[in-house]
Amino acid sequence: MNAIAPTQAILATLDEDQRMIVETAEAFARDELRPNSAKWDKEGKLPKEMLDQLGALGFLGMTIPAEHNGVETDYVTYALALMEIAAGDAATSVVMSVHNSPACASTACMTMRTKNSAS
Amino acid sequence: MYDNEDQKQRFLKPMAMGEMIGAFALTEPGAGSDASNLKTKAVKVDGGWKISGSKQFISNGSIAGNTVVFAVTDPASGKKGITAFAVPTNTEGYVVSRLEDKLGIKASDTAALSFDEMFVPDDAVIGGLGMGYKIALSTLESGRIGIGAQSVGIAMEAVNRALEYARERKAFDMPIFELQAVQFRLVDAATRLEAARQMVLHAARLKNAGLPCIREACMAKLFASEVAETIVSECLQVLGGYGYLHDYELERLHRDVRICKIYEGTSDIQKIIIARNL
Repeated sequence: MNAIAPTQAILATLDEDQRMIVETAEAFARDELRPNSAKWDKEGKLPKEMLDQLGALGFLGMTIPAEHNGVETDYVTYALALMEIAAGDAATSVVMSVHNSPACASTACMTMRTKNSAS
Repeated sequence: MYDNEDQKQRFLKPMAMGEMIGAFALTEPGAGSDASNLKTKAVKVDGGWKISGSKQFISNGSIAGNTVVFAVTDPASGKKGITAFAVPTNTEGYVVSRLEDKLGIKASDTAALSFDEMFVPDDAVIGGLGMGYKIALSTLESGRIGIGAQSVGIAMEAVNRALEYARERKAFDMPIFELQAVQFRLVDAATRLEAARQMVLHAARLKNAGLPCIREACMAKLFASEVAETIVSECLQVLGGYGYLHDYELERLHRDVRICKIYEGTSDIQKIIIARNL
């Protein structure tokens, strides 16, 4: 664990599931992102396989309710996971944050149609 | 009228499962945070809508499978005349007109989009006609918590790299970390980082509790993005000449962190919203 990385004190306040998500993000950043970040910066693009992996690990759709197939994690866990991904590769964290909110968050509003019938 | 379930299966499910990347196309060349000035129009036609206009600074705009496009459906109704549409990016007329060349976050695509009478069916409407502005507003809290977290992550990496360097690099027969000037610089960086992290987590906790947190989310985004830039700059300084080289990560972090003060509302926009909530 890095000297300044999410302090053990913060991790200790999380439950098992939350901690696993943050630790998975940290491991993904360490193994897949950090070693490649300089290369992707030069190439100007992110490999699709890496983004598929990011999705398969549950980092896209994090705050979407389980009933809509999301991971339904809480915002503290989301923020801590995003910090780890950003530390590994800032560009990847852009894809992750834009996808989760606003993109997923606004798309999820399609489920409110039955409740709000505007104009 | 709408097959809501079908819409969820086609867009929300694959996005939530991370199989389809999403983008959010609100910003235009002449309208960003001032969403009431949107020019992209959707005109009603048989069975759907024809969307025309252009969008600017759309992250994920070229790699997304689904882009949420905001367009004016009722020009007479101002903010209440804006509607959000779920648009598959393989829709005919969805054109990535330019990929921007940027200072940092270079591996993340930033697209300019243009639509010329792009047809989307009725069931592309998200949440109902005229709900666009409300939908956009509903994403602000989590969006700003996100950029705050991103700022903290980039700054965290900078501090760790600078610490590592300071403990290895020797000058005057000792690691430069033993020099109080270097120590204090890193102490200040780590302390600011901790403050930024706690502000982001505080906003996230309020959001978890279902409490309004737009003020705290804006404060966290404002503070974290501002101090992150300072932290990265100070950490780059620790590395001296090496900090300025492409081969050492600090140079990239220095370029990457700059965007955090700009997107998802500039620092000035955060201040305007915070001021309204004092």
